[in-house]
Amino acid sequence: MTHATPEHHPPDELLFEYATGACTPAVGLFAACHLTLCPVCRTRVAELESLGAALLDEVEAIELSGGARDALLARLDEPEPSPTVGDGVLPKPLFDLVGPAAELPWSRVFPGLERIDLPLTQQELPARLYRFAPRLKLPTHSHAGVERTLVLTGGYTDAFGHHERGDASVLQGGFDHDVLIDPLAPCIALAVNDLPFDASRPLGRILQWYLQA
Amino acid sequence: MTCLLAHSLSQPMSDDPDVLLLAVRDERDRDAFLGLFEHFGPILKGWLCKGGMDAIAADELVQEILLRVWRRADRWDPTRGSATTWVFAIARNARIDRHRRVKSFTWDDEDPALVVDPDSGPMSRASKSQRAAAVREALEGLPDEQASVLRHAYFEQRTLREIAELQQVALGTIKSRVRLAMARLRLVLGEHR
Repeated sequence: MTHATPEHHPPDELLFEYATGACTPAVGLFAACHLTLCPVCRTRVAELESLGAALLDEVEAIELSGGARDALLARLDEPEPSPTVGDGVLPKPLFDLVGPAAELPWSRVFPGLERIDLPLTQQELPARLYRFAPRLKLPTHSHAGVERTLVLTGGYTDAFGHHERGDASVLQGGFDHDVLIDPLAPCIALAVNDLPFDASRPLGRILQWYLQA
Repeated sequence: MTCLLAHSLSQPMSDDPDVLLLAVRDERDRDAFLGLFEHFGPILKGWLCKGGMDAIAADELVQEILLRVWRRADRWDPTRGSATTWVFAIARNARIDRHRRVKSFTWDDEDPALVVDPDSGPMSRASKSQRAAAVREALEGLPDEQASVLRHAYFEQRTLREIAELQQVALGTIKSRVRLAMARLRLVLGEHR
């Protein structure tokens, strides 16, 4: 049942904005975490980075300042922080933000749902970690913006299939989808959502609860 | 130029960035590092200024980028890609951190959570330079409307939404231009695997 590499990937344009450096930090975190778990997308990004390298040929070189070389040489002996080692569960970019999965400071939203906010900038909604209890069924919901979900542990099933560790789902708004968490273990997911809810729809309040919860 | 000659009397210094980066990685060779500085410094400064940065800030950021190259050289795998591609990615992230001043994220090759590629083999030096030539060819073969999106994106770090506004076209149009360009790139590189 489990797959060795993910079956659900972010769209090309997300990888593109990641490779050029234009994406928001939350989307960058989402991408870097998926890429940790997905060699196929790493190949895609490597292709895009080689395109970046090729485009450097079009740049008109500009001489550096006279002191640049010596200033740089002087810095080569600066001490560096020693690298930390991840926990093998959370991709390193996320681990560096929140620490090991086993010690995450979850806040309970309602029975079966816990979350942690990861505010990265003031200009965007926080990235979030969710932990869903096994067998939890999330009500049908709709959303006006973009909803990005990356499974880190456990899994869930929705209209698009089964999602497990490494699977990245990026959904544009406008439709409903029931979500059923797998039965055997909790599901931890990284969620990066844009504009949350369509409050005019009656189901908007359930979504509001879910996304604001 | 003369300072490099003064340092290495016995061996001529290569100007091939892959050779230089390998010497930095394996031997912490400072002459090789200076070679990288001479090779990449002005290009990176030009890249940053082309993207709208002022010359002084660009000069400082170039030093930061090269310092990261020095510190992380042990992470470069020459069998996976060219030195220029690797340096581009470091420069991109440094630009996010220091110029946009938001956090950049990248995967870590030493991460115990990393899922390795079961199929990929090492790239030979010949195939790396073939691939670089293939990418340049793919770029030259792109229709102007796709190439211009790439230039806004790579030189100015613009989002697709910003490019759509700049070019006065729908976001969906820009997305499909990106997808087409990526598909072409994939096709061309697929022939050189």
